[in-house]
Amino acid sequence: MADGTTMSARAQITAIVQSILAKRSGLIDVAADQNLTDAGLTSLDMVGLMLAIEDEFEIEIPQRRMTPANFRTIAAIETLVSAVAMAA
Amino acid sequence: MSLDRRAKRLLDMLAAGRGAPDAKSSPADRRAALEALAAAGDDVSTEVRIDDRQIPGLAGPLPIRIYTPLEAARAPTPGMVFFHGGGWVAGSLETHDGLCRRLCEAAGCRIVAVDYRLAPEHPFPAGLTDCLLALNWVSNHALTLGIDRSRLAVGGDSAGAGLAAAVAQIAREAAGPAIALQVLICPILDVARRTGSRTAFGDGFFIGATAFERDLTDYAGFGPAFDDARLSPLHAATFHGLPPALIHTAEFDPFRDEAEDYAVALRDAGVEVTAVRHPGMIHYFYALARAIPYAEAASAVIGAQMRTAFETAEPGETAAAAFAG
Repeated sequence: MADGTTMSARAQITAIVQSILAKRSGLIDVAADQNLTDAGLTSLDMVGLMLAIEDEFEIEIPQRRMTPANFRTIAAIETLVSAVAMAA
Repeated sequence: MSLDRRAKRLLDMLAAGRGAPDAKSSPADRRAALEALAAAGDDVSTEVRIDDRQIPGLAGPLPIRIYTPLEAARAPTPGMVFFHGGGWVAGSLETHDGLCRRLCEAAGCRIVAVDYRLAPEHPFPAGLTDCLLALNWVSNHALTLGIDRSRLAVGGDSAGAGLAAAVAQIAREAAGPAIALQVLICPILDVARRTGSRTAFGDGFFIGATAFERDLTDYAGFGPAFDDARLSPLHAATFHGLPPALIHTAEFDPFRDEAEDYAVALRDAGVEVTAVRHPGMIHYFYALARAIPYAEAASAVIGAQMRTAFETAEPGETAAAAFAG
């Protein structure tokens, strides 16, 4: 159950990241531990990503968790999402 | 007033995203980023009729999108030719689709959004030329478009609002087409300004001074003087005879002061002006309704003001007549 939930969240996050990257000419495949800024996401992309994550998981990310580190990789976002969802 | 809670959250997100390579991002990257932000941050659920088409442009077909209020599918309505923001470099019919839908419904008017050419591929004055061309086309085809030509507005936001203001000035000089109203939402009207709100909100308030300078250089870095009125409408020789104006600013917007100065300059010249400063708001808030729900309320206010302005617009009154008088 826990594994299934984890995989599903990662898949959802990956799909969001890919949909943003797909609008660019460059990289589309992105690994869970890959730095998203290196993959080509700009600061405005990051905002779009955060809004999309909030929408997708119906959460509100508190300001103290809105740090570059928490959005550095898909794995980091996954950890963030589960932490916020648990706190809610 | 302090920053709106949701606007602050958006800025927090921007701050968290910082460190991303914006300064060297290509125009294509900047466009994609604004598209991504619009897709995530705006709401396009307002139902209106949409017709995409192309009109003849100087360098090939010029795409436009026509928004028709559902209530008025067959009846003539007032119209607005709309120029999107995005720093002359980014923005599209898609990024401003939500805003155009909201304004179309709230104002009960047809909106013709123009996909004008962007810099740096097409520097000044290509975009402005396209905007003028689109205005002329709409005015000439008003009857078939279902637009009451005596109630035709120009409007835009951010850099697009600067284009709209310039278009209104040029139409005045050219004695046509007649413009009944100019709707300027967080307009950029004095590009080289570096004082007041530009300084106070130059960093960390959605559009940073560095990013803006880069856009400005791409659009007009090797072109006109920065105080050319076609680029900085606040530097026009005179403001007499310009169409009535709705000017909406945001409290925490770097471009706030130049917009409010424009309102004063127009009023001093006898032009009817309705100016609204949205408290707690940031630049571009109006186009991010999902991230900042107040955008919906602001659209309703702008739309209601447009309705009133259109109702009081005198049929047959032209910019040319007012200018000559």
